[in-house]
Amino acid sequence: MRRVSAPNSTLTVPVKRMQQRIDQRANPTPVTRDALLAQVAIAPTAEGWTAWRARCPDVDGLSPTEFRLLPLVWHQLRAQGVIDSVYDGKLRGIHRKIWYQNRLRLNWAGRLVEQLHAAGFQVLFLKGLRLIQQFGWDPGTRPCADVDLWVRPSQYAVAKDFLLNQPGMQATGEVRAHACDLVFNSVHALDLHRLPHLLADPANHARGSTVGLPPGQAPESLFDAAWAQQDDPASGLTLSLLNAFIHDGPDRRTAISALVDWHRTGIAWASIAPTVEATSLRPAFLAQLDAHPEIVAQSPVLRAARTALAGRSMWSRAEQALAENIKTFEAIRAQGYPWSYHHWLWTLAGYTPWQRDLKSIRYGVDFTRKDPNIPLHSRAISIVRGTAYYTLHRRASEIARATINRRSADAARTK
Amino acid sequence: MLLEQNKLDVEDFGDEVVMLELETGTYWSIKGALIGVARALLASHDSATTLTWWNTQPEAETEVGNAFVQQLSEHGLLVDGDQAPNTTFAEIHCEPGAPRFTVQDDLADLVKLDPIHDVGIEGWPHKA
Repeated sequence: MRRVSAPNSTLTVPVKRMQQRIDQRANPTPVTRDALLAQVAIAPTAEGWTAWRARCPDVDGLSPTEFRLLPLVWHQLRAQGVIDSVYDGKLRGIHRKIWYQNRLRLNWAGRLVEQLHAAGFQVLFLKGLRLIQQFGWDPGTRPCADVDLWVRPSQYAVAKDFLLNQPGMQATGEVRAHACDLVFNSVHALDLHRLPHLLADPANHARGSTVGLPPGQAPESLFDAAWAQQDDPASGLTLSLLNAFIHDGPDRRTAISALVDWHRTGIAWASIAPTVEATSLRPAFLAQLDAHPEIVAQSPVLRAARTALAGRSMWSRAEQALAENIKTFEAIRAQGYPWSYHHWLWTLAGYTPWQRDLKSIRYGVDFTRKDPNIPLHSRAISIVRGTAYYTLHRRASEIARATINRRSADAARTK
Repeated sequence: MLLEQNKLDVEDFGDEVVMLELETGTYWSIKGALIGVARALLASHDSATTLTWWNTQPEAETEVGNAFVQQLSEHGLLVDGDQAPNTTFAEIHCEPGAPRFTVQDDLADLVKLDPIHDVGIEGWPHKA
């Protein structure tokens, strides 16, 4: 067996994270630590592992993405005889803990689904647990935060009441447009979906936008199609990717993990393309792939998907419009705006930049208003700053950009 | 007595066999030569004949084997079987290393234990 090691550090976690941010600003690297570990997850090598360990000396201050990928990386490297000389025990422990949690979840969720079916509800597994079941993955290699179940939309309200009447089941108070969170005996977290993702309901779109829902379909018929395909692994993967790529922007952890999941399934683009095309989301998929060229380069499946998506001339009008909206999203993001993940979602939902600004201000107001721990004067300052940021700062940036572009054009003309 | 496998979720990782008691969340880890005992029980061998066979194997330690079977019994995981127990040990393979096992039965503790910061060098579920 090969043993690899890296230098240790004794800094505390918050200091280490601050150090990482300072280092990144001073020495920006083209590949983030998350992406580096994702590359090792897709193409495990001792050299790749050593490179990541050199940037994470004591397996501490892990990002959520890194924590999510580590059990798979550890498992795959061990299969090749590569052992970390210092942290093998802890890495094995992460794998075992994830195995333990997922086996408990699968057992509990399986019984819950049987109970729901017996009561007449139609329910499908979504996301991580479905991938584990359908692809036969080692449950220790794919962390899942909770159990995701999608109930037939017309049965959702009654199913939710049915579950809340079960001993031990409680609502956490987190209610979103497409799902709500429940918890069982403070152990099992259940994400009960009415929709597979937010864009599956036209009510969550900007006026005139049809992205996310195939033409002529409604949430109920979407469930019908998924129910008919419940044994199709490609359907399970497609739903998982749609959820990840819609809800999280291209630089966020869920998207990186989703790319690794996709590679792991080995499912070709051709199997998921019809659904993605019908939902006008090809530009979003392309953006997610383009955000991580170093990860895509490691995977034949992802490379082939990227190549297939490059043919934009076949895109629909809705997709062309979405592509333009994504372009403005990325141009603005490149200027360093503190975009919350909502901005990506709002871009896909068809909202223009000024509409997203207004939503940001309202979101910020709601957020600060709901937290009783924030003093009133702090809330007021936060709201004023947010408003100024998303109005004055944006306008100033637009003027500056227009000025630079005009000067560049003038300079080009005079040459 | 036979292992009550309906109550368990088991995974054989080669150098470790882990068992999860589905009703209680109790987590068992079996390592080293003791893996042979686990594998024999999972192949529907009787516990008494398994220990007799195992005590003839390299690195077997009688006390550890007896303690393991005793704990299984105390957890209600050994039952009188309806079917005739397996009698062939030819295909049961013991792993090298000192036989050892741990049983962790605090579900809340197991779930909450941070696998990076709260554990020792052996990792979860062994606390620092």
